[in-house]
Amino acid sequence: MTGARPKTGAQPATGRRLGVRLCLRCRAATRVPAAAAAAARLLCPRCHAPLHERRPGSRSVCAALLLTAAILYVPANLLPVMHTRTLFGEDDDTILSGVIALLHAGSWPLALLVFFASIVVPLLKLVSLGWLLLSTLGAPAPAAPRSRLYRMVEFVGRWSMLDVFAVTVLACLVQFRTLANVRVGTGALAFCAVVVLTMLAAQTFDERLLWDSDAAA
Amino acid sequence: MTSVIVCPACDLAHRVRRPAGAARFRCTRCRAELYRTHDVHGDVVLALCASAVVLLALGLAYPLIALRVEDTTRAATLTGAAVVLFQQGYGALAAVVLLTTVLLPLAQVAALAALLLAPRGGPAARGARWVAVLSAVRPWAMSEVFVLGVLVAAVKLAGVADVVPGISVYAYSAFMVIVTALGVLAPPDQLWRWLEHGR
Ligand SMILES: [Zn+2]
Repeated sequence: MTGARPKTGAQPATGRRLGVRLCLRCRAATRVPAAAAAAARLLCPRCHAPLHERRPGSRSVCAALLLTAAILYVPANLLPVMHTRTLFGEDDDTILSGVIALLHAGSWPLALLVFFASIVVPLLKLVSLGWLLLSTLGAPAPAAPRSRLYRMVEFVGRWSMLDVFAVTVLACLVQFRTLANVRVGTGALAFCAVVVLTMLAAQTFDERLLWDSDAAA
Repeated sequence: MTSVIVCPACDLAHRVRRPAGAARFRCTRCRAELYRTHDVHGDVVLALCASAVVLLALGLAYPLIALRVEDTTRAATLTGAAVVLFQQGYGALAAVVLLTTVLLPLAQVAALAALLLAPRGGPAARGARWVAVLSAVRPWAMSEVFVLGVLVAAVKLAGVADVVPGISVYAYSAFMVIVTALGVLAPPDQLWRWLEHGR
């Protein structure tokens, strides 16, 4: 294949410069004549989805989702994700105390995994997506490392649901009337919302914005 | 036949000769995968879809794990877990769990089967619908995360009670493996190839 590798100083041959738009739904590339580019509504000739140069409202929708997720991140970590009641008393577990309990159960690899999935990853997602969003507004910067960060965030995001699933199974399993029972806590709902919102934010973010502000070395 | 492929990740345009056989290439600037097709026969993929449905049915019918405390045993099924969430007042959580572990992975399998069974050379817009469903659903199908979640729950309980794995753990894990394989076997370019040339 003959890649249009940009030479130093030369403008890369992007779809935007060539007047070619990519359909986000079916991935067909369509040449849009300069005269038609200003038209209000262009449709993909193959699948009839609207054709945009960049995802419309990518920055503002992503920012709104991130902000909501950041606010919910506080109750997600402070409120209990489950209540345990046994003959010996009652116990509330937050995400963090769940990790510690797992460590005491003698399973440090699993504890480490849950620690990463439930505590490190959500925080990493909030901070890095926020930073990536801001980086598209500022001065041009190298895009390759930012793009790698974005792809990592998008790849690991789903694993944060781990704790929600574990709590779900525990609540279903531990139902022994007065002997022992587990109830789901409000924290699990907030945590689940954080995971869903950050996943939506990552999907809304148009990665091409990073390359639009690329300082080609 | 040469055509222009625009990178969905960085917008760089590439002029490429579309190969007739299986091929894979990446963006020269950002290394994103631009094009991937393979030569696995569509019938094999359909057979995988069918076995995924059977395995999911088994996974739903039998308990995932059971817990024995003194002389009482309590088993958790996937649907039972959603019902318990609902009863405890967390309907939204029950919906998310059912969607991510059952409905969306199933939708992924069904859309792929529908695409493979669609008459060849039909209207492109109809085929595009299945391609769009598959790419929209994929990030939200979380079977593999759920399997790990069951493991975490089992480890947490292992110290205090007897945990007995059920048939569903094996059936659902196998379902998860097949769904993951189907994800690898269904890149958008291959889907278009099936739509245009039949399986
Ligand atoms: Zn690229």
